[in-house]
Amino acid sequence: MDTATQILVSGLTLGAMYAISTVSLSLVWGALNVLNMAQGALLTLGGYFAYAAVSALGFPPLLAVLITVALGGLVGLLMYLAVIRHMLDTEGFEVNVIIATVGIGTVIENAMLKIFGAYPIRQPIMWEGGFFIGRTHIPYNSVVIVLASVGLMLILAVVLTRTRMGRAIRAVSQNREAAQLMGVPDQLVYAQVLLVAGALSAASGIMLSTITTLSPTMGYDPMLKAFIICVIAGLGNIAGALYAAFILGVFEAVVQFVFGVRFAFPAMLLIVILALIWRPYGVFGRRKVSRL
Amino acid sequence: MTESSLHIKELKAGYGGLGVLRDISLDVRESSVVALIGPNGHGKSTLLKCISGLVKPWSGEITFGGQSLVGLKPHQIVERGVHHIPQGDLIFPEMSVYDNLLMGAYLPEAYSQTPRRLEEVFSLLPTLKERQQQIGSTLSGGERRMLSIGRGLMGGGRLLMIDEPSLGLAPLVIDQIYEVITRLQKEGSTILIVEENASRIVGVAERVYLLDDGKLVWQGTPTELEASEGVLATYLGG
Amino acid sequence: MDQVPSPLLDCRGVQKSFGAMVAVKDLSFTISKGEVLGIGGPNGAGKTTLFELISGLSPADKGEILFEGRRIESAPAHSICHLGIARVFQSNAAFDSLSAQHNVLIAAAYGSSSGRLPPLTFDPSIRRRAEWALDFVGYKKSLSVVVRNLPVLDRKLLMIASAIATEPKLLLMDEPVGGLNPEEIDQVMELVKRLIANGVTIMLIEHVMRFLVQLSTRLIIMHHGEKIFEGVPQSLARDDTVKRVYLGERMSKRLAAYSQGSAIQQ
Repeated sequence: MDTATQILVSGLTLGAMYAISTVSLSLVWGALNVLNMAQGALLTLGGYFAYAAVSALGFPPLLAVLITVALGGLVGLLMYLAVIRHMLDTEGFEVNVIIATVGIGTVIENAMLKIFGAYPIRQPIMWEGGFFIGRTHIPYNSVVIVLASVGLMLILAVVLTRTRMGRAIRAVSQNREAAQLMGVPDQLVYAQVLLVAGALSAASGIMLSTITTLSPTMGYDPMLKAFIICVIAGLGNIAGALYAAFILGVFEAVVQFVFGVRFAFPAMLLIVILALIWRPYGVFGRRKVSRL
Repeated sequence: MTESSLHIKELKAGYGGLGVLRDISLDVRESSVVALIGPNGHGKSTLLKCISGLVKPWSGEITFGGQSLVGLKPHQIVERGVHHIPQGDLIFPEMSVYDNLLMGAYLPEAYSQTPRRLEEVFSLLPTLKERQQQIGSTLSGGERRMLSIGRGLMGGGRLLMIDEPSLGLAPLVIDQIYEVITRLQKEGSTILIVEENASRIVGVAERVYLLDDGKLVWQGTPTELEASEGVLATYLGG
Repeated sequence: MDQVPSPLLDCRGVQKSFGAMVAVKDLSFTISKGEVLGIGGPNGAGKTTLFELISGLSPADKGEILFEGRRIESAPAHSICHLGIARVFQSNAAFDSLSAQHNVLIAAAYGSSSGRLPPLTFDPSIRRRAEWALDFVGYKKSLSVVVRNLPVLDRKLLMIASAIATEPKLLLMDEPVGGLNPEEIDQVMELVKRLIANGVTIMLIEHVMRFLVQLSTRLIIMHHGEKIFEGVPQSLARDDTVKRVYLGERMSKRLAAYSQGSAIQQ
């Protein structure tokens, strides 16, 4: 029983972290039809910058986190202004932009490599220790991650459903031309989406670096997992991505415990295949009722 | 040049290398209803899209209320009071009917009028009221069309452009929509409609323009249209 | 004593709901060979849903649908096509990225009798049938043009050609002339008359009244999933409920004049 709850704690922690980066991907895909392959690099950037802010610049941890998240947003915005915006509405956009984001990701990763070196570094921003419920050990770090994740998701949910900006984002994601005709400034909305996505990715990267160690390639694996979760949930389906992230986090923890760490990824891929055979539009995706 | 009159001069536009509109010049007087008729695929929808900014014209002028619209982004044109209800399925499929209608009043000045306009749209199109919580993608074709029109009416607007108000709608609904068009015109709006069904515009439109192969080949009043045998023969099929 | 011939299509107590919304409610009617059954009614009345049920793209919750005496309400769509029912959709349902010719070839190849494996190539008989279909509908544009680039009349002609290339006994047409101007509507009316002369039975949804009323031998008006009128077109204008919920004053007057012999304007 204790093992089960222990696995659950790990799983929820992983899920919370995946949730943030998955939602970031899902937002960008939904609004812009862009598969953001620079996601992994943004995670890495988040982790490293928080580390640098504390160790090199001497900021207190909370401030470092806030500045990092802001920086992530800024990088996202720059990605939009400098690259993506100019590719919109060109032929083959959806494919070309993938290549462009791969390029951006490579640049960021190599910059991290150059600045910080290839050796894994321990992330100083984390809570040591934990507490016990019964015989289950719950790290403080996990609690912080889960709470932060849930908090961010709640804020995002409120923004998307109750604010004008949120309605604009949803409108542009569902039908860009119609949104334009309602007076929605679509380019401004895109910039906002990339800003939010960048900030979320940086946050997720900080969380990730407290669980593993900081290295220039630490973002690859989580990025792939975020893609998988997005696809299973139904691309562009943000609420679904949230549920799927937690479910898959727990699933990964179970597989790691029962079969070993190296089986986690293949097992997740197997789940994707099975899920897509069963529901090609994503488990939570609405079947596109094409009313002819 | 008055507050909400539309002037188009020598407009040329097309897609890729293909020219669709050739030297179009027309005027829509303030607070009037003007109808565009003509064979399908000959530029009527393209003309509306040039005005609303969805399509960039190759050359020519479009002025509304004294301001040039050419080169502006679609949302900027909406901010100047030009509202376009196109053909085709442009509803937000994952939003409810209610949320779709609310999106029609996105701009601040429209937003403040929301309760009143919503009431008007619901009394005009009771089906939308019945189905207000239903998600867009589950509506039938005709219901989506009604939603598009209802949503377009939520924005107010000094110039309202409707592409095919009769398309796919029950005769009773078409009657009601044309009543609204007439009422809006009396309240001061300028209205430009593309209409396949020439008999509908009699008594509603002040002026009719016939667009054939991208050119304006005839203009006059609806009465003149009905009386003109040449036009009737080539276009209306008798 | 002559026996009443059995109907081509027999719908008995057909019902379909989407969640709490009943789209088609306990609907029963028959179509005899050679008839043209027109279906009208307010938007959202369940007309297209009815076509979904008959063509097999959506299963009915209750009731039976018999085609030539055979129950088809739970048959898959492609079997229903092979039995002899073809459908022309309301919005563009052609294969947009393929050529006009290719579209009709596909219909001709896959739409005829079942049983055998689908063909790997388009043999001469398939090609002949496709050519005949395109010619029959009066399609005059290029064969190699990609459908996405076709204007609306030609797309509609193409969809009709694809449907008849499957050699149907019953043709379901969903708003075939929506968006067409009067001359184009006349062209499609002539086409439908040719189809009728060729022995095809037709079931037709349309709001363009002159098209619906002039072609139909019998009319059903649906409202909230139920039948509110069934009868000949001439008596449509006299029905008060139909006027109140569907036709409106203006159209009722025009239809009344039509049944007295004047030509229908729209």
